[in-house]
Amino acid sequence: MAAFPAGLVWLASYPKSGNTWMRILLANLLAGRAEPADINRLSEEESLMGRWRFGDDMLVDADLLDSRELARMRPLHAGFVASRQTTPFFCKTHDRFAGEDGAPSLGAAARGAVYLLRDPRDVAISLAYHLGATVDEALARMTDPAHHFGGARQLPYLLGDWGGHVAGWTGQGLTPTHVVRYEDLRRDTAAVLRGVLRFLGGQATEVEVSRAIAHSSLEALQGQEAAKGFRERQPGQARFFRAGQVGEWQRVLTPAQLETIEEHFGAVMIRFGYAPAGATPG
Amino acid sequence: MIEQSAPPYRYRISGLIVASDVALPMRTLLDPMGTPPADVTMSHAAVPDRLDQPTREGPNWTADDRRLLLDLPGIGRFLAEDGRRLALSPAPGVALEDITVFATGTGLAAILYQRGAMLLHASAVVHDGRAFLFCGPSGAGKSTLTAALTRAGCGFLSDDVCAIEPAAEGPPLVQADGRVLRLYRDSIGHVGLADAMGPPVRQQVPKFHVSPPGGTAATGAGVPVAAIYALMEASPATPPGITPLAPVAAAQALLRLSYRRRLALAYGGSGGLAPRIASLLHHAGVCVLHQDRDFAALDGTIAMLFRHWDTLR
Repeated sequence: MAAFPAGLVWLASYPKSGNTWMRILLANLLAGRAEPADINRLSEEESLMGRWRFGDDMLVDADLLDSRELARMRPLHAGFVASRQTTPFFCKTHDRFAGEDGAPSLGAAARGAVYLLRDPRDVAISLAYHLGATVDEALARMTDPAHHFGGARQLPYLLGDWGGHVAGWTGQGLTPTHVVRYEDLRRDTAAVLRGVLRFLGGQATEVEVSRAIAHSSLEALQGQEAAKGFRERQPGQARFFRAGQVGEWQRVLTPAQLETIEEHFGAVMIRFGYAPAGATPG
Repeated sequence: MIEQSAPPYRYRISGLIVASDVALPMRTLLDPMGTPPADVTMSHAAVPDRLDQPTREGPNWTADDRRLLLDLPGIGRFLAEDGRRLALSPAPGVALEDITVFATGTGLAAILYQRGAMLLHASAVVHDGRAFLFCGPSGAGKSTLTAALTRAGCGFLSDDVCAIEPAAEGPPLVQADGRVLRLYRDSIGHVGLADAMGPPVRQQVPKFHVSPPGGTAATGAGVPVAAIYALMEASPATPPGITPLAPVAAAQALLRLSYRRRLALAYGGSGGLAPRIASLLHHAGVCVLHQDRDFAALDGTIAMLFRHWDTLR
């Protein structure tokens, strides 16, 4: 069975960038079982993004707090959990690295972070589907530096704009962070997963890595979702696990939408190898 | 010697008489002349920074056998002591009225646990003289469902906390938490209670006090528990419906659905909690109630509950 050092590790990303897939890959690695890990038992209730865990640990319900009060308490919460964690804990987060006051939203006590990013042009399509909105509506969110997200089970949090999210997590020096591009994860899942294992100081055999990948394949996840549903699916969404395509934007986005994305995020895109539509692939 | 004056306000909360020098919004004031002596005093007073030798701690709280100290940064500190005294100390610049909701929530829960109570994170209504409880964390839809049930003719019992106490015979009794409903504006509109809307729960929080139709239960008599529902969101795999839980799953669910579970464990963990849960399960079933979160589905949920209650007679 694969082994990881104890401690809190953030699986951080802008939404729709492969976070859930990475979480399922690691859950399958940790479980080390012949059958796939149940996608509905990923302990999202234990997540530090969730209202249940916050209320359970902090003895106060988040819906009685304003955004400043919540922002003050979340680093306390994460710091306490990080200091007491005696098992590996991979915790999903979409929080921007820095809060409105510039301090880290989740403190800096985690032992590390895996940051996933994806071409914002494909994120826009996936986010629109996830929200049941148009691409233009998704883009309005992606370009809003003050955008807040949250839900009935999830704490409200500062997401900000896509470029600020990527720049914040990849440019900070407080939490050791390993950056993974979704496109690379799709192209060579095993190599990327081995890279994550190395970064986290984990150990797994090739057989364990291969099995975790098979258990986390899109077909396997869609099969589980069709049979049993997925708790993290949005109301009104037909299914959570879509095709997860790379480069879908080339068929779907309009020139005006591409222009909006490149105008806002061009510099960050180039830095991470997402060449603007008119540029020569490099 | 100057005689200390008695706190001016008296309330009935979860079966206790609370004497307070702090006014609590939207609660029925008791006549000091006609009520028994106070069980608990609540006062605006100095609260220490920390407990000396805590036996339990969380990110923002410490506890020992007789005290809980809760620190909400930028809001205030709260000390619940010996099951009798609750002190509130607002942070600088914070109005006392803006922090009472934490005192009556977590603070009084600590007092009740120190006195050996069992608390569920639940709202409750009364139908045919029996109590039906709806458990779930904040955001699960407890208050909205309860508001809709009171509109459909049920009596209102509790909004957020249900104190369960043993009865001389028969099912354990639920004590009202003495508060009115707390709802977001969209819920208030959908259940048709706009006329009953009171002040916000806190200055910066868009949740409002709402008087339930028929008023609050003020007599202090407990109501026998008939059934307990854990609220869950419906999904394609778990469509709307009511599913009874087997005893072991029901016991685990009740522990998880305790109000401020970590305090339940801190004060009742060493053998106090398990027999109470067993006694409750002996008399009342626990079901999962899967419901759509869409307001349009509320009427269907209520019809389903009334049908279920008919089977429990």
